[in-house]
Amino acid sequence: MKYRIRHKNRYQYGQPVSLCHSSACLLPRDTLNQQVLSARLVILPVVDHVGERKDLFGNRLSRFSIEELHSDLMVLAESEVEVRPARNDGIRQIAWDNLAPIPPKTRLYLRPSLYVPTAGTALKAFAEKFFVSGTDLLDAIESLNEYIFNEFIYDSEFSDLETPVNFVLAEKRGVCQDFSHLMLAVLRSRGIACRYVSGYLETDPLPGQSKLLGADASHAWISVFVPGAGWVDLDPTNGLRPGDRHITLAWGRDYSDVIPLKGLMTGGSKHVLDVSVDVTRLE
Amino acid sequence: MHDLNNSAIRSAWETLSAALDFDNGNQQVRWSEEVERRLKENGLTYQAHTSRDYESRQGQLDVVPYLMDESTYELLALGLSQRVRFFEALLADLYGERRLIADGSIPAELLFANPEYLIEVHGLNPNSPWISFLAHDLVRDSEGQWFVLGQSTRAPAGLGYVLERRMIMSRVMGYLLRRMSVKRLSGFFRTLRSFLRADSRDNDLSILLTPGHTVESYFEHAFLANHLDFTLAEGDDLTVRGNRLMLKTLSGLRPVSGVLRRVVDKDLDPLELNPQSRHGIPGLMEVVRSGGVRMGNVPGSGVIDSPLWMGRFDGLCQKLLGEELILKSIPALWFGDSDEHEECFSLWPNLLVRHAGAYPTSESFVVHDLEPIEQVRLRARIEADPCGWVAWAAIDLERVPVANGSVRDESHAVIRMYTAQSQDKKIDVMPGGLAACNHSAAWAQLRPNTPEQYKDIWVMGAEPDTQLSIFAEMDVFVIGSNDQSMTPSRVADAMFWLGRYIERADALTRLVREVLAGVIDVRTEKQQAAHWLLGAQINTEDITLEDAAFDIHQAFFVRDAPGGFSELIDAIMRNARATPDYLSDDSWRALVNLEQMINRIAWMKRSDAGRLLDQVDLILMQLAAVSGLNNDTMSRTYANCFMDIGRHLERASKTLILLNYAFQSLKPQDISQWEMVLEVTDTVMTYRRRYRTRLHPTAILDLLLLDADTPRSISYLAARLEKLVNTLPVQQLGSRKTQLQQTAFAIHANLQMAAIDNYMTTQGSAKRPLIENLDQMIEQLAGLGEAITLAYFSHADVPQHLVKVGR
Repeated sequence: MKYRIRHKNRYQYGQPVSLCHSSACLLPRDTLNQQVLSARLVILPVVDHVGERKDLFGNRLSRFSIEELHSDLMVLAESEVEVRPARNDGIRQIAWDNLAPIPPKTRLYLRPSLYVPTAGTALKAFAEKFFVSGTDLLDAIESLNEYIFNEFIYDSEFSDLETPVNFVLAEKRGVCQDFSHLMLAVLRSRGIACRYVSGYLETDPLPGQSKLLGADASHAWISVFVPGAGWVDLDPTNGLRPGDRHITLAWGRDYSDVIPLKGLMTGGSKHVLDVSVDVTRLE
Repeated sequence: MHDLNNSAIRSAWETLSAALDFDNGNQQVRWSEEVERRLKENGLTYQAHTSRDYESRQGQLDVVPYLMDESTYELLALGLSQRVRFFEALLADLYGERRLIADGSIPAELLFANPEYLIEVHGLNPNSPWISFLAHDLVRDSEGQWFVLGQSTRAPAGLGYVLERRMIMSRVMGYLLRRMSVKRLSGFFRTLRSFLRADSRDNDLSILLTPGHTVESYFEHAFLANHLDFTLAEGDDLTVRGNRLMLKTLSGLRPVSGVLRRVVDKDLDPLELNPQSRHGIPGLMEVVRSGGVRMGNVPGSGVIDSPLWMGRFDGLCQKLLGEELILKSIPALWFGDSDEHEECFSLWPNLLVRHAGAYPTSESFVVHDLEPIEQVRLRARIEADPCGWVAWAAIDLERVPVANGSVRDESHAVIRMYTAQSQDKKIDVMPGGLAACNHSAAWAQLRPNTPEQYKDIWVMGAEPDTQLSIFAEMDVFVIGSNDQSMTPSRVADAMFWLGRYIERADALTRLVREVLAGVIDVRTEKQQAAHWLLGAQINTEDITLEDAAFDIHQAFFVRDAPGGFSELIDAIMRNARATPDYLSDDSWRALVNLEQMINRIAWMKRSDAGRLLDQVDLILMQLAAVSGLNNDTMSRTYANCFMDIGRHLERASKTLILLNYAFQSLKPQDISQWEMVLEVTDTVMTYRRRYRTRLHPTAILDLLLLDADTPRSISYLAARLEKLVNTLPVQQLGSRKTQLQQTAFAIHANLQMAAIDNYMTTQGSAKRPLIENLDQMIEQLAGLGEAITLAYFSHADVPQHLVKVGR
């Protein structure tokens, strides 16, 4: 499936800004199931130079600075991407507590990270519901994924970018980012390597298909490492395994590794951010 | 004891102990006292710099140095240099291909549990060595075997102290250092300096980046910056433009090409690293990545400070360099490995335990010294995240003599030594350092950064170091050639306000002194005059001065009295702390004394006016000391120029306000009041010499307003201000500077054209134009202050985070 993605971010400042250093993770990466046909950033005011590099995870990071007085900043990411459904069939059944060793570099995804704590009694009790000794790994993960989808309420008023996982668990509310962080915390507390995926959903589904939750902005889900089989994606916000309607932007330990756009400005005082995302199916 | 089997040490010790034991050991006592006195003096400066108690400064300096013979030094130097080469290779792999992780040479968790490992640094290929300097803590066990306890890339933590303590030792017992051919430290500091200076472009700067005076080691940063002739800068003094690091100076933005940093890795860039950091510079990481700045040490190098992999360095060195590690780390066990984990708990509780964070400040425990319940808790913490902990059985450390009165007893020593690496990878090991001593061997190796005592390490050469005399040792470092236009704007701002507040305090002190002198006078007219004068400063409606000491104490001395002494001294100290390397040590001492004096008076219980007057006299003397020192001992830099402008500006406006008050409220015959005007402006003597008459308002006006030769007159001050403003840097200011000069000129011109007949009647009353003109000049001066702020200090904007794009 081919998509065109337009992700537009606009800051309007209360006072002019004399200097702004910014970092973006807005250009999609290639994956096993995804090929990036084209991708570019449009920045206004125009910048001389956008530095691009690959981070530890292989994501494409862009760095730019605006050194002239401006009262308005627009960063538009435009890309065309082809996605094939992941083939996760044929994964052998294996008990979650009897997994083959995880390769060294992948073990980074076992550690707690900024937004993914792995300690806490509530978290432990919650995890034990799904991970009974001997349960098949994918079965356990699937049931956790469905549980979050069924029992948690999607509520964009409830949380912000910094809401702790334990609070999300206690209140059973949140958005895609919160559900993903919670799921990562549960899995890592059980010794399962998993990562945070930032991306998009098709915004306007074809007739007969349901509109997915979280389609109006960028989306987030998770990916689990299954020894012997590779990475398997799960979307707890929609209670499903992503197919060809999920477009991957980047991944990392948690949100803090793949923040789509951040920056520091001199001046500016109060400012507002306006974000719009359009994902259009091309064929 | 010192290794007396070693003949070089034995003969040195004979010389040293004979000197210490001279006069039945009284020499040792005298020297100890002298060392302590000098440390205390520096401590006062330290306290002034950091607003912390001197008492919290850990570790006194033992008068008995740690002796090291040249062959031992050479062995250690060889070993330490090898370790630096090893760390270079290790860092290149960790932040590059990570082969050591992929092939299992380093357990993955060992790296990922290391809080100093920064994934953001991945892929960085610095255009300079990763480690330009490094501190190693070494121990020697009772069998003479050397081990490395840990290393710190946050060196030069302590480098300033090494210098300070060597200076004290050479002042107290300089002839001994010479006689014993003690190696000099200056060569090492030259390497360090040249590392960051090397091939720097002409106008480029080298800076010492400090978190500022809120950290305990700030005094050391200032000390070191001064001796290396680097500009001391905080994150807010810097900005990134055109992918270069720039210092915001009086003459605009100046490129920085070398950074000696004392800000921890994570805090260097709030954009890419810790977003909460208030000590970094947004965009810095990208500058480092593209080779726009040389930084010691390169961000991310702190990963080697973690104790987690100490036990594995030997194997890794074999792998990376194909060499056996000459200086092995202590055989520490990592809880993250199941075999080592088991071994640890079989030794429990006879263990020392350390957490993964950077050596030497990460959490650490002597397990068997803990209460049983605490042992259980520690064990639970370790079990919760075993990858984050290491342990080792305490090493039986060598014993060294320490002075105790006129005799000596024994302690255990940890040796801190420093390495510097130049651009072309030449490695230099300081022939000296500090030994950290503790009577408990376990605590000595657990907390080498908070010892009971420090020792200066004396490396003794085979023959005297003839290059320079020992006294030149101190002079070598004092270069002080900093281009003054490089003064950071923030520093100039602080100097300007320092000048203003010192002058404000001076004016207030003189006024309060006259008020107090008036109220204790038996004559009614004097008491009335005192009440009148008080009205120049505060609203006197409800003040009768029946209990003058109480009223005045309430109005000016109690803590937080508005516009009172405690507010002024707080402002003075706040601004002084922002300008550490521009004030002399003597100025610091005077300032600290002043602060203590004012605090004492603030807490004074009931007192009479006479006693209060004595105290005020003392304040005035101390203020004179502060001002005098600042004029005499400071080199004439732009920073001083701003301080002078601040002082002249404040003095002129205070005098104008007083004149305005006097000429509006006094009659010619109010002799006591006019006398007070002269007293407060410190011009009684000048008046008597000049006019030889009784007091007359017209003569007073002539003296205080128009006389160009009286240093307190407005005419004199305005001329000085004009001159000072003209010397300020013009670069990048353009029209603002012109505007500034015009304002200064207008005030001066105003006075030159003034004629006394227009201002005063023949009877000695003020005419309308005088009051109007005084008002106008007060406004002009305020305008001048604002114009200076606008022209020179407006770089002070602090960057804010944008709202992040989420989800």
